Amino acid sequence: MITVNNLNYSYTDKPFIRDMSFRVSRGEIFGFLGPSGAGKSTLQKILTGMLPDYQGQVQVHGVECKKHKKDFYENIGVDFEFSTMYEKLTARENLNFFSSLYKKKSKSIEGLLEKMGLAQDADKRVSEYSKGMKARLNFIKALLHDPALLCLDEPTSGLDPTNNRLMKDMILEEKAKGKTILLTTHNMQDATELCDRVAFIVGGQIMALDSPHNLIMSRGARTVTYRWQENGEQTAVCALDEISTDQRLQMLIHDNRLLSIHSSEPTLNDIFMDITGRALV
Amino acid sequence: MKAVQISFRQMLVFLKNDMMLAIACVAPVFIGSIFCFGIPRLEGVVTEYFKMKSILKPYYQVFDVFLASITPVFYCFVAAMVILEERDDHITDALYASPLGKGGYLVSRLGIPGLLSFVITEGLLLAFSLIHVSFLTRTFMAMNGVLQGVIFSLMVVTISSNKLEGMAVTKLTSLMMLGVAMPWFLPEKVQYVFWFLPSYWMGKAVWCQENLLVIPAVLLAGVWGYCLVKRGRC
Ligand SMILES: Nc1ncnc2c1ncn2[C@@H]1O[C@H](COP(=O)(O)OP(=O)(O)O)[C@@H](O)[C@H]1O
Ligand SMILES: [Mg+2]
Repeated sequence: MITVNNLNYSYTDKPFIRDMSFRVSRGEIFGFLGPSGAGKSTLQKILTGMLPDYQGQVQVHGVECKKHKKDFYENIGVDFEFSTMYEKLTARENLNFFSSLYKKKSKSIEGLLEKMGLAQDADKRVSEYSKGMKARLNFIKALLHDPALLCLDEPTSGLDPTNNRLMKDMILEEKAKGKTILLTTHNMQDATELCDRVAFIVGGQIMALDSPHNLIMSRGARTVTYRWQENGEQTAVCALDEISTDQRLQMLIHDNRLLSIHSSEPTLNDIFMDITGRALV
Repeated sequence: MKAVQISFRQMLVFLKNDMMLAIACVAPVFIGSIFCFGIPRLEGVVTEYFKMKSILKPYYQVFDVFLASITPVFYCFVAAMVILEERDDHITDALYASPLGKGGYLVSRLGIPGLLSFVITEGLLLAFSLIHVSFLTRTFMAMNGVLQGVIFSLMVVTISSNKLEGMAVTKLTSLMMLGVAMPWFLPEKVQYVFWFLPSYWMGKAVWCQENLLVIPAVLLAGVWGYCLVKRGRC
């Protein structure tokens, strides 16, 4: 589906994206996770054929990106990190225009607007839309021509929790239909929940690449935290894989004196900090 | 091809929503008719007042070449403004990443408007020119005007980063057109300072009645266009 080999790219003379290599297979949700300025959007632009002067090999659907023909885009849906709509036109007019550029028959605009909760506002000018509404509208635009590959650049930014949930469900729905999805984000919860694999990107380089589960487990000293009463409330922590050797915990269990007990694992955010030495946001 | 058509149609929709640009589209017709009907009348008034045989008459052709340059520039100005606003709204990105592509986009925003403005310029010259010229000369004038117009819009979109700047740059860039008038107003030796302007050669071609001078005009326009396209990532 996507093959990247020894990709190098820079806007200036200084090297920026250095020696990236990875593959994404069909039906996978692949995440680019990194702080802003890391080069996530740049990478997405290269993969969508918009920055042709890169070095190395970048193939999408078997086509070298810098040599793409026009029909390359019949099967790619791009959701940019900013709104790409005519502000003076209504949402419906915008969607009608964009869908008419494709040879493929468009999905039902009505249906998508309904699904994303924009049916009521379909005839409002986009300039009257809030940030979250624009984010949903642009997401719909990317889906319209039913592309096999979706490139979503921070699609959930600016969304309230309800709509965030709605959009994530839609993304999972597309995956269930066999679509491949590239998801750029600096939200580690979204990445953990949605992505089959994520690439940590900092300063134009991939610092780690694996499934969120493996990444978490690789560093994963999972711990158990418990509380009990003894001259006031006490708290202790022990590693999950050493739980049988914790005498005090054994005794508290035996005497039924535990007030609370829970296990916790590092989040993707902790792992990111660990590997890259940087916070995500 | 279908996408190019749709994209051009979208530009017309855009004009419907922008009064200033819509007015710019009809302005050449007004200018042409003012030249055509106003100038000879004015000549009548001033020659009588100053008791002279002719005052403006020797310059009639300047008005004609001016009309030939300004008409395409108006349409290319409109195109440039649409491009800038679409860039401000990031629509160009979305269009580049669609079957329209960068090539199709530029054809729909510069190519088709250029062709149309050629036809319109030809028509306006036929209707309004003060001095009758041959079909060939008229066509060369219109062609030069259009090349100039396209360079003009390339310049505006390359230099300015948003619509507001575009307006300012437009004022400066339109000075390029003044080259057409030089042969009438400057001594021959001094004129050549303006050799780098395609418009100068266009004026010269009409002034000397030498159609072959269209060649340097077209070549220069080519060089300008090439440099601008190379330089600007529009
Ligand atoms: N068109 C451009 N020209 C020059 N530099 C750019 C351009 N676009 C982005 N950059 C620079 O490239 C770096 C990475 O940007 P970007 O890929 O947008 O990061 P991210 O999406 O990870 O936040 C930034 O330092 C940014 O300033
Ligand atoms: Mg970005």
